[in-house]
Amino acid sequence: MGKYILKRLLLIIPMLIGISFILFVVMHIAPGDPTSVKYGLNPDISESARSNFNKIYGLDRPVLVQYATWLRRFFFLDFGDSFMDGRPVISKIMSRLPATLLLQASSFLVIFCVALPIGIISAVRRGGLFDRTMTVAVFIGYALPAFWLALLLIFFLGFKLQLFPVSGMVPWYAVYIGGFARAGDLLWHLVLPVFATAFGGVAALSRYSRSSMIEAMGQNYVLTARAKGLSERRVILVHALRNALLPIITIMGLTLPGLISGSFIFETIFAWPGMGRLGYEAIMNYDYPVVMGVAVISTFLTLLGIFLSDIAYAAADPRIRYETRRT
Amino acid sequence: MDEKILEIKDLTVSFGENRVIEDVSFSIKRGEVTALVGESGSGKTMTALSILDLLPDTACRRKGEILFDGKNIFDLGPEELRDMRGNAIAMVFQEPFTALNPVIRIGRQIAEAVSAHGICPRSEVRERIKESLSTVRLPEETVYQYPHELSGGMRQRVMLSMALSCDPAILILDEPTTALDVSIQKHILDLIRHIQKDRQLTVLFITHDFSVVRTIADKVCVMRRGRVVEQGAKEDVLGEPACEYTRQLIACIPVLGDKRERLPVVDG
Ligand SMILES: Nc1ncnc2c1ncn2[C@@H]1O[C@H](COP(=O)(O)OP(=O)(O)OP(=O)(O)O)[C@@H](O)[C@H]1O
Ligand SMILES: [Mg+2]
Repeated sequence: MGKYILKRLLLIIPMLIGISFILFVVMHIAPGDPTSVKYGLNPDISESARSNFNKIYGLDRPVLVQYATWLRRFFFLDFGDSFMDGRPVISKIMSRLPATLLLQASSFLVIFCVALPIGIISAVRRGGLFDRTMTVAVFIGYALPAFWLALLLIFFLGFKLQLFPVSGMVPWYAVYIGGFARAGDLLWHLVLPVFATAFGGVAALSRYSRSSMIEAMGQNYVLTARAKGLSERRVILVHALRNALLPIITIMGLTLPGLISGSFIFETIFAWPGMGRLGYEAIMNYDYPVVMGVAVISTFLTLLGIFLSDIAYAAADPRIRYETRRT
Repeated sequence: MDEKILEIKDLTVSFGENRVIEDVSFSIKRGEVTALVGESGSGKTMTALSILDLLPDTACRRKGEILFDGKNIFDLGPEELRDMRGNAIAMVFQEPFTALNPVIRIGRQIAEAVSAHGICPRSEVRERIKESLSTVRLPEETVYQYPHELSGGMRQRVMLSMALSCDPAILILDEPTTALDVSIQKHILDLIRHIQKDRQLTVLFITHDFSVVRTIADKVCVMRRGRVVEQGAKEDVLGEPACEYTRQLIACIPVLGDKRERLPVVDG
């Protein structure tokens, strides 16, 4: 098992390099460049100032050479400095990472804690009122564009009813209130962004856990469990659920890329001071070093998540215990 | 010895319009082995599941009753039913490869059966599992293993030990050897016969193989297409089958039986 973990962990490095290469090339192929934004709109900027900028940042060299330079620094976790304000990219990202992780982790938790019970209850009471209601709700959930839902939430719950704050994470008054109140306020600010980010995931995962659960409940070992005289509760929550969870673990790992790419949109909509919004602004400004930094960190988080879900799977399924075998 | 412990009366079960069990009636006497014989699809498993009231959701019980200790099991409440399953009537299924939960250790799966009915104090559960494993001649260490680590024969022994762990009044064995290798079949059958004799168990033995009937049964009940076509004492049915269908089933024995004798026997 230890060997397997190490192998999988090491595998992340080449994957990260490959993906970073693709990202780098795509970013440079995309129309526009830093000088056209920063200086292009200003008619007073001379051609020589422009080429001077390109030279300083090495943008005049071939893309492959630029990538090689980038890669070399990357091994020392040096992502360069931002074009916009000259601050090191890594410190810009690190200051934004906690907010993103908080939002992602909350969404992840909400997805799991909401979707799983919905899936289980729907499966157990298949065809019942709850199941049918949820089927319709999930259908709507799939059909609604999540960003539009986010705007609706902001409009109705935020502006009209004034129930939740619509933007930001820590308001100006936070420094004046006590620890518990501040935590409560933070939770309060989390409600709408989490709702919007988790919505699609809840819809998908609840469907998935429903079908996984239905399949498990039709298995012979569930019949055996009933024939032993176990309570229905135990049959469902122990025998069926433990097996149904196996594919769900994999799916949970696969929801991560969606969550992270969603963070670009939702952090911008809700003015959440996270890495996604940083990335969005960087893209808008052709701030290449920041774009690369954010993209690589996001990729790393995604790969790490998938790795963790694989480990969880291996731990949960006794049939996949690598090498070490207890007797 | 002659008292009926289980009595099935006019049982009819259907899937939609398709009647898979029709007017089935037979009874089981205490301490006897009743063989339920029939070709594949004749409704043997469905009859057995009816006894535990564990028919699939899509099945519909049209009529009939099943009296256990004089009480109709279809009148029992959910809690009474739960306590009857495994405790009073236990069942071993046809498919040992899928009947055990793949993610739970064998020990826990047996322990569940024991503790579900509170038949012994917690501290003695362990001892009881050991005992029931040794009855089926499995090593003690089996409790730490997962089903995928066991062979089909071993899994069926585990199922058997699980079923025996609560000392059931009736043991239903649904083709316990059909899915197994021929060489292991004999071992399991010998084991079952031995335990049955030893404990004077009441058994409903489901099979489609008359050579098995011959060695193990006291009474035979022949099913075809959901109906009981013939029943009676083993000697009568085997000696002078009244029904052409029974004769055909019996005719299959020599071929299978001969083959089986010559095969080397390897422990499963
Ligand atoms: N879930 C189900 N839905 C519809 N029909 C079913 C279902 N389960 C069983 N049947 C039908 O019920 C009939 C009896 O099935 P049963 O499993 O009792 O046969 P069996 O005698 O046990 O056969 P075998 O020797 O193959 O185990 C079969 O014709 C089968 O097609
Ligand atoms: Mg069957």
